[in-house]
Amino acid sequence: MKKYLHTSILLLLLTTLTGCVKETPVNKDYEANFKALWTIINERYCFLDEKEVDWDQEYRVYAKWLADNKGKLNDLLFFNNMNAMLRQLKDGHVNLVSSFNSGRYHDWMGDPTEGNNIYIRDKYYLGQNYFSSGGMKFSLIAVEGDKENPVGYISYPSFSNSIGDMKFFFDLMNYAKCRALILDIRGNGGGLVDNADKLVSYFIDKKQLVGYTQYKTGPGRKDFSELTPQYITPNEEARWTDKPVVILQDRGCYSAANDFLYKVRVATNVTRIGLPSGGGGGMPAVSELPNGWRVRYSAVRSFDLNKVSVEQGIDPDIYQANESYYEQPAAKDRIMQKAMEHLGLIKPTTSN
Amino acid sequence: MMLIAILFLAQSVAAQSESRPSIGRKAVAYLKGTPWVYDSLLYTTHNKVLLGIGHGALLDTYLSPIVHAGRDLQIKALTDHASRRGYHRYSELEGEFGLLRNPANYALIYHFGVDYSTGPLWRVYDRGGLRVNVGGLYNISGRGNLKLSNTNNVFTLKASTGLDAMVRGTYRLSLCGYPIVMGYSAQASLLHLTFSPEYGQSYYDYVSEENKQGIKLYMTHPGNRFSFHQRAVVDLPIRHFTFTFGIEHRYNSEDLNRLEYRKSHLSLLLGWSFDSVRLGGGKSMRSSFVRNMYHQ
Repeated sequence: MKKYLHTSILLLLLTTLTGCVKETPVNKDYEANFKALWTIINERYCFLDEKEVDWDQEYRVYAKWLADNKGKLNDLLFFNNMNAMLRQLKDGHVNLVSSFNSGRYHDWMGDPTEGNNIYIRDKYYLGQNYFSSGGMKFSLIAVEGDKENPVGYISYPSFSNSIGDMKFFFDLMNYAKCRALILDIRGNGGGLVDNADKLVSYFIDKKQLVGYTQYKTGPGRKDFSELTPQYITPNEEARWTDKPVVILQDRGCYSAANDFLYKVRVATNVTRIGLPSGGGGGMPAVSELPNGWRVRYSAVRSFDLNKVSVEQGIDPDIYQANESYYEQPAAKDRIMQKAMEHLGLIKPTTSN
Repeated sequence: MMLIAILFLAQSVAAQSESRPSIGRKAVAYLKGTPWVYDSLLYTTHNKVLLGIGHGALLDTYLSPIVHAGRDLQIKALTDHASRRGYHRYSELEGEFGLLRNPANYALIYHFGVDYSTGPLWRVYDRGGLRVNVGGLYNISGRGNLKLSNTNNVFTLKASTGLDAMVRGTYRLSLCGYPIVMGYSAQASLLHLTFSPEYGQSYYDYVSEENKQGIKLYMTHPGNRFSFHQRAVVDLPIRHFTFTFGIEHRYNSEDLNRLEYRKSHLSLLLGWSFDSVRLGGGKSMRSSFVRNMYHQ
């Protein structure tokens, strides 16, 4: 009996010791963290081929830099160089996050003052008596020469905030006999895709195929899933499908706002006016390095109805840029002006 | 510790029984408790309710390539009904919760899981107080990991159902007149149908009402999914209460969709064991041996 008992205890100890997950030691070694970062992007980032990034070349460049600077590095220097490596991806969804800084790429924005003039918006379109609901601000803009039929104006600067009470807005617009709705998402840097999908649902009256998504199925650069169709169902509570909708866009529209712009294209009463959006067609995911830093990267890519990637941005239906108000403080909002022209509320002009 | 203390107390009592018989006998009688007298053989269902607390470690490459470790808590209910035909109907229900951290940045993963196994265990050895059972169990389990510091890979779910194998040994011994039962059990997964997210799939594919994908199940075997847990327990009767102490080790390993998943824990168990009798219908309502205060 004792023999069995001893054997059992030995077996128990053996299986217990071999069947434990070995914990990852905290590793601040720069080379190990560089390799971990490079590998995460190499295996999980979804736009390497599409953007024709020579990621192997980046490895060679920064491996050499590490070797050349061995013994001379500190966290800040290492962080800045790793961030510079990630900037080669030209992706606003890519960030290196440490305890002391968050690396970023903002060049997708272009000059934001060419698109969104928040001073004009707050002074003339919203004024003092706007409605504030969720993350939206709503007002009625009186039209010169036809004050009986104003235009509804909604400003929605972030899809991270919830959508306002659209039923109330639409009821108010119907009561006020509004002739159209202007939805201003200029400068909207994104947020929740659910909010983007929900906002589209107010402008369609039947279930619509709006685009496709595709995710990585393995570490290989060509390991992608089949295209998955994306549908949106009309909102049951409220819709605005009979009268025109003009959406104002600019390069500041990124990520979920970019998603909204390509999906809302299926709505027949919608016209998008302004500048091409900034892009950001990849849903981000997060991973971690052995030293505790985190890296955010694009993991799932989106395609429009024609199966064209939306990573580089969405062109408007009608192109219009503003004069930069940094250079010209009295610059008018030409994008809004173009919207009014499109709605037939003012005559086309050729000057400010 | 409690076992040693009781044995020490029992030995002291035995040694003193000649000099102070009344105190010693009273103490022994108190610890032993009075047996329930029944005029026939009573087949009972053995139950254990156990609370486990220990150390857990998790690698879930869908969320992070770094192993997270920390506190792990389990609560489990075990039942074993010995049939008269030589086998046991065994079932085990477990709930698990863990707070596991990345040691480098202290980012937290909330780990939770539910596991249920049931099936027959046959007696293959029963001699000299040692009883060995083996059998196959139907197992269903679901485990989730939530890492709020992530974005579209914030949550991962693993679910599985299939056949497990189990071996269990119990050894009954008497130390200074005290019946003590030691038990060891090991359970390992065999063939399962398993759900796992894909390599780079967004959790939106599962939570999105409109566009969520159908659930894909994969056939798994010990080569790509291995689940093993073992437990050693000691039942220690004190008066009419049986304390159960033990240790449990669990290891889950899964390699599906090019994702690595490893989870282990080592826990100390504390709980109690009791035997119950199912007295439904005529057994209780028409029996003169049972007083059912609800019906009568």
